[in-house]
Amino acid sequence: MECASGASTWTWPNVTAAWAGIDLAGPNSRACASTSWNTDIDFSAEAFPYIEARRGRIEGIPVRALRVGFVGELGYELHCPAACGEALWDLLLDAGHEYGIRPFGVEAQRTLRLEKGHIIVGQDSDNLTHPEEASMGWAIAREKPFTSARRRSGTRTARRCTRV
Amino acid sequence: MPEESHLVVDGERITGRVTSIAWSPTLGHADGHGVQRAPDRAEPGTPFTIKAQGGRFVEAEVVATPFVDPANERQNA
Repeated sequence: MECASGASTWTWPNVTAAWAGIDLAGPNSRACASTSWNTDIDFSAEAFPYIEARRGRIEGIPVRALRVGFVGELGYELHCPAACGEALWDLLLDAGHEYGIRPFGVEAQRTLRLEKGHIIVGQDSDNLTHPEEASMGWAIAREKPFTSARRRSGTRTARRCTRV
Repeated sequence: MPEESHLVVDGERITGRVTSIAWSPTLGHADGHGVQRAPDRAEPGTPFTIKAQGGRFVEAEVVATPFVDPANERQNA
């Protein structure tokens, strides 16, 4: 992607495939992440609140840790260079062994996120969906000079249907 | 249980569709998302009808989200 802005041209290479991501979630996830491994990331509740991110290393592996809750649980997304993904996975399995850690996959994630009420953009929304319709009006910065939401006139108040 | 893309109907009118649905082990019943072009039917407690497989009509109810842990005690632990 390139963008020309005044005298500058910016290029953003897509490095998605260069990163591995592991979701560590559940009531014991903090205890697991706070195990006696060599890390400069403090996973304690006081040092790492919800919706914050930390950069550091776990046993030498560069990690971006995001405290987010897509599955509705205490948890962390741990992102590292793809070449280190398997090693980080093995470290987590070892650290979580005493807590009964188990892998969980896409179907479990989709069920958990649905229980939490999170939408999946592109599945629960389409290119006609207004943020207000997805109960995400809070994400629109209305004081900025231009947002895609300003292209729409009015607000359609269609809401999600829930519980069957 | 209805499936994704099954229609939400009001008599002969199509008013929306199911976008996500799954059986919730936590709740013991199905939960899901959908979209309706019916602003007057968005309030929690409002009943609505889904046309499911084989033309069966399934009655459902609008419920506020999140369905589980509304106080976010688990994710904010």
